[in-house]
Amino acid sequence: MSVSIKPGYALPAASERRRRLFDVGMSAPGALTTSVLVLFALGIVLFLGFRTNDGPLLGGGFTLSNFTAALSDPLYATVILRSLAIAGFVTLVTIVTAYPVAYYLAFHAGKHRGLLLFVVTLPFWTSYLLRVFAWKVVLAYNGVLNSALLTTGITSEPILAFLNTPAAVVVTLAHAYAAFAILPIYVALENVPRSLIEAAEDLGAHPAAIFRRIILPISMPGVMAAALVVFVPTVGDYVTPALVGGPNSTMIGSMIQAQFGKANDWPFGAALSVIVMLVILVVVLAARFADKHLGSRT
Amino acid sequence: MNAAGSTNGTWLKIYVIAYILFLYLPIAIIPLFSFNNSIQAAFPSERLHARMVPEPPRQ
Repeated sequence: MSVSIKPGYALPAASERRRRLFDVGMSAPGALTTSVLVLFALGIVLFLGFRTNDGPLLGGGFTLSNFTAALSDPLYATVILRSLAIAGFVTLVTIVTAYPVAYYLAFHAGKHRGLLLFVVTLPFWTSYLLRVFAWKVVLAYNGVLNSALLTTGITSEPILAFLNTPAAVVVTLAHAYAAFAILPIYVALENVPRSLIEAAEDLGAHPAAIFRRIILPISMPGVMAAALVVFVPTVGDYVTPALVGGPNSTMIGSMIQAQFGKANDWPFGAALSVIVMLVILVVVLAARFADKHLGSRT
Repeated sequence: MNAAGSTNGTWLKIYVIAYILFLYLPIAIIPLFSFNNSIQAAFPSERLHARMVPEPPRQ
């Protein structure tokens, strides 16, 4: 007996129902997490941003004054611009320094690749706060770096300029987010077709040309992913500027934290958070637009 | 696969070792710093102690 399946064959109603139930069951945890933990939390922040700070936890009435106050005060614009500049510089430094490591892992590591990946990611098993504090010990007036410079005779007295500077914030954040840059770039480099490189080599292309014309363009999606993963959390970071940054390194995260803490003005802090989220959204969309239209791919 | 050539590969290896040192050295300082008895983040520590090691309970 032969069985023929018609082109428009549909599953029986009971099987179809079971399949839909299975789909709903599989997507429910993710949907629940997204809606409760992300969208609800964002909704609360947005709601708080439009409330007045007159006693109750969720404010007393609706107002636009939080947004107008934040947008009209040049202090917040300065701090947001500084946060964007520091985060942009951290992203640049992190990616430029992480790219060669990812390149080595993808093309040169050979049988040691797994071990090297483990070695590169191992420092990130320690607490973020601990790593930032470690840099405080390194860069302090009597810290490791100054002690080493004094011992070797490079300087005759400790240098004040290491700690409490924007440079200290950049170095610390570049260290903190190194793995988040290495891994996406490594994955992108792993997907570079080796046959393309071999064909270019056979045709006599210089290694620099192979890198510029083949490897770099194909790895750009990984670079963009790494840039986003580093840039977005760095803009709002407040632990690192608080521990190793000085008065010139105050970032918007510290000001938001102050509103929710000492100032006890949650609606104003929420309005600042919403403004920062919108600014980050604009920057990310601009980066995506630039990546798409200004030719990251050849 | 060695698109960059063996000389560049050697330099790359040196760079990767330096980068791994950059990742590990600050963290390696923390266990060392736990022996510091000063209230300041001074290094090297002038006074070392082992206070974090709990004394055995007396019977």
